[in-house]
Amino acid sequence: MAPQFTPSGTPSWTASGKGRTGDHATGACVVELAGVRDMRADPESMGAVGSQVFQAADAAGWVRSGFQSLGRDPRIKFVDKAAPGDPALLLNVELLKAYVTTVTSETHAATVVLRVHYSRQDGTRTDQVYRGTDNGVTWLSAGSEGQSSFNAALTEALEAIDRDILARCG
Amino acid sequence: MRLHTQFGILLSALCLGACANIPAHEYVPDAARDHITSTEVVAPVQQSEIYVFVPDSQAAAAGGGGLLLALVDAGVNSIRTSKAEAAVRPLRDALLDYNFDEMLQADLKTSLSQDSWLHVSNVHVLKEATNDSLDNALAASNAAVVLFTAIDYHLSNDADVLTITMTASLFAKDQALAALKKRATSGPKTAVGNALYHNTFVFETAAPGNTIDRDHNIAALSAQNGASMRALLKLGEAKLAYMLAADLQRTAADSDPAAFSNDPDGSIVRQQNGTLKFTAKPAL
Repeated sequence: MAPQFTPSGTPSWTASGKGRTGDHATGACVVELAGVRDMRADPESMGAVGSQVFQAADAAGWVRSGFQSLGRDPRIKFVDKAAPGDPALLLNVELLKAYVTTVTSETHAATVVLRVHYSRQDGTRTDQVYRGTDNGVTWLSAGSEGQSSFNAALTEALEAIDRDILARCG
Repeated sequence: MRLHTQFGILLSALCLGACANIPAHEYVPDAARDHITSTEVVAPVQQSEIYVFVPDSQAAAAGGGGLLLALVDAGVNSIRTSKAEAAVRPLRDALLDYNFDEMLQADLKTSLSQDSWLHVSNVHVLKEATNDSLDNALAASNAAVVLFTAIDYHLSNDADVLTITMTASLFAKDQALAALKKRATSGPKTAVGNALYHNTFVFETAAPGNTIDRDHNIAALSAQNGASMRALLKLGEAKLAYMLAADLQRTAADSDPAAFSNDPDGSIVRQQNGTLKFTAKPAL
């Protein structure tokens, strides 16, 4: 599976404004992505569609690139390291599930499940689990359709995360 | 038992092209038990979460084929898939921290330790269950024999029945043991025809208060953090491991133990073809 995330369709965080990384509104929510960990027992296994097996050398990196794409939301500003006293929102992400599976002889379903630990320098902490899914007909190439499905599933999860980040900043 | 597409694909990795004349069940050769010095147990569990069985649309098959009906089938399958995946979501969320693979490993270790002649050295789960991955696991093992226990667990389309199926097959690494095989090696090394022993075990139970309303059934199974589903999965894994350990002890001349017919949790029946099926008593 390709390590770089490509958003599916026009996600809400790119449609919310200018949509270009670095082009942020005044008072944008400052976010530090502290880490992304793959919690699965077999981090390379991503399931199968028919006889097409999916593997990822760096699923955590794929998820990280997904979070970095949230930087296109002008209401969110990602920083490498929050300064002391900064009201930044700190994110620690755990990849709990990521797989694609055959459902019928002609359809497949991709699933991504993330747990996001939100915290602030004032000590407040909350956790939230997000599930993104995508179902599709396997028309021609299980390989490319599986990749698209994974990106669509992660897009769904990131849309909810984008909303929650803004709600926690607001 | 209808083979679901997912489990059918998994079984094909163990069967492929070599199953036509192979009986469903073959006992461990009597001479093998005294010569097994170590056993590695490999449990292929390709799925990551529970799923709802979705039957294939049969419009094309019923209507004589053709592109139009094939497109109808694709459309129907797509709708059925979307509905089933949406329906099972609350149950998957409720079971997020239930580690099926770890529970299975533990149950297999416990039950198979009762068969001391196996000398079980290692039990681990394999998430990729292709011909190549199974053959590679067999080739990489240093044990005298490798016992594969492929698992599938799913709910019926109405989510009123839970079925867990285990297909077990024992392969020799040791040359003296390999000589006890019933037939010459054919096809992939882990094809069932090349096994010293193989059988299929089924655990089946009705969901508590089962109805024909899928959403209602899933809500009941998901309630209280999936308590009833967790209990059923634990029971199923334990029963399958127990049946496997017991069956490995049997020879063609043995009758089944009394415990098979007096199980407090349900009934274990040996089918005509030698496979074993556990049907749980309905929950009160």
